[in-house]
Amino acid sequence: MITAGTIALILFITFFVLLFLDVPIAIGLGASALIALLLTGKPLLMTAMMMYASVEKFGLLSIPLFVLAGIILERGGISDRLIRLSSLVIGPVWGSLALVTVVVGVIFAGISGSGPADVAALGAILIPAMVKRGYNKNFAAGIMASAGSIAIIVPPSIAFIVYGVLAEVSIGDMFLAGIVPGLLLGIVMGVYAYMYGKKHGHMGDPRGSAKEIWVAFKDAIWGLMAPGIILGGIYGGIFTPEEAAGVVVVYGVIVGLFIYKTIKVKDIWNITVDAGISSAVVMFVVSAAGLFSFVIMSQGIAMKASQALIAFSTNKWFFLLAVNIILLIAGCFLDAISIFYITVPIFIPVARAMGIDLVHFGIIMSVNLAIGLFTPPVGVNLYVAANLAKVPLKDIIRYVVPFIIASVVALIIISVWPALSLTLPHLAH
Amino acid sequence: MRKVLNALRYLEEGLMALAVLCVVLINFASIVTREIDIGIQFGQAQEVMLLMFVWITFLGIPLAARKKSHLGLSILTDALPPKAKKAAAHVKLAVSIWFLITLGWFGLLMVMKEYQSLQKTPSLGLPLWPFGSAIVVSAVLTVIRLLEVAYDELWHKQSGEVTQQ
Repeated sequence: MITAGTIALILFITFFVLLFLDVPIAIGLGASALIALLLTGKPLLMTAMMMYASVEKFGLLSIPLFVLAGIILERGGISDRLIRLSSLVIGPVWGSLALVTVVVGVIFAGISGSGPADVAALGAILIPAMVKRGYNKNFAAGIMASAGSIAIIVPPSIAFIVYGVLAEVSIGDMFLAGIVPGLLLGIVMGVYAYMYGKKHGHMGDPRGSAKEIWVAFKDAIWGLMAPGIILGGIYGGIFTPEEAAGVVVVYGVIVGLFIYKTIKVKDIWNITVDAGISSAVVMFVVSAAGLFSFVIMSQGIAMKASQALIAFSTNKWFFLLAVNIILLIAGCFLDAISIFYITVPIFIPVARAMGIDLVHFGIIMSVNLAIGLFTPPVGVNLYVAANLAKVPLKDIIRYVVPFIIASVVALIIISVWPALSLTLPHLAH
Repeated sequence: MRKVLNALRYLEEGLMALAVLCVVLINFASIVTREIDIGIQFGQAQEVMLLMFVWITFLGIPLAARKKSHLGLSILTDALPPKAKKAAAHVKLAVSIWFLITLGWFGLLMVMKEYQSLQKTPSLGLPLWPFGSAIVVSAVLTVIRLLEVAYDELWHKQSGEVTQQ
């Protein structure tokens, strides 16, 4: 009989070997789980059954829809309108355009739920704009990669949807709980952007006249309304978080086709195909990670790991510190979805035993994973931003470090102050 | 061969996009009919949406494989010398195909079981096998796409280099 410890060792070693061989993460998770199943003599039928069962969850249905909504609104020209409005409002302050990047990052996060998607949508405009205004190209890419990570903290968020399904907490509560922490991340990043701008003498253009701002506002209002529709609809009891995504898709199509007239009917087909593929990339990881997570749980690996964590210390703060460190390190190498599937079965029983609110815990985990999106060596946001700026990834690293530090400060505040996350969901109940 | 592959891709894309649009429409219709009573209810349509969602996911996986969009970690392999890099790419291909064939095979067994036992969904009583089949189709198509990409980038490119020398 092979012990759980040996299985765990083989499972994780195989996974990391495959990961470093550039085997797609989903296949690496699936193949290492398959090997573990082979060793334990469990029926291999479980491979197909678990991979299927992990996908067939109603809560996850909103993932392709939120992806689609994000792409439609972005192709509809929402991003440049939001950028124009923010530039006119922010006006002549130090680091103005860098601040615009952060502000628009937060607003766009209210429409989209994926970090790299935000970087791609906004970076295409903002990085060249910053470079044109004399900002260092690597800084421009770095701030874009960092600000784009807020997408998974401000609702809607694919990370929250997956966490909600896994930890069995309300996705609606997660959405509300993410608002203030998302704003906090924006503030700490904004503070650094201001300091950087002041140090390097980047001053913004004069503020727009009231009339200019009004015109830009009227133009951008359709984009600004999307987050309102999502949250208003959910908490007004008109639709569920699952349904909200579909509503925004319809809204985006109407805005794109009839109001902005930036999308043609024939574009909808390509947009839909792109959204389907992007969503499948996420869902393939969900599917395989579900199998991986099944092996961890059925072999008692998760339970042993949880017990080890509790045996080590029953101090809540120590546990949260350990969670934060583990996730920050894991976030350097793995995507948020895989990390959730691997660690949620281990952490949740401990968090529950220590009386930590699971919504608050989900926010803490997600903020860690958001930081992972722009932490070298493998933050996906960094790749997207480096590509857009046409600079080598290693050159950006120096410029994201201050943003990582700022975000860790926000993470500490979010971790020790549960009310920051929980006040809004409590008010809604 | 290439023509067949491209035709297949259009078919996959078409079915997937259709499924996405169906989900959007059913979802919207179910909210509207709940808020405004027009005598038709779409509340039961959840299972249909789930069927579509399963197919969107599993049809999208081979399409993403063709575009090389699946998430991976290439920092180590990028740093390898060309020969080692190529060897790593072959290991990657072999592991992927081994896993997908196993998945497809056990998926097929799963679907056959669902078909024979006449398993049905809880609320609408839809047969289960059309849901499960998505995983089998996906595994087969993804293997085809991986081979297509490998042919273009690994094997064909190599012969190109040889002729250049």
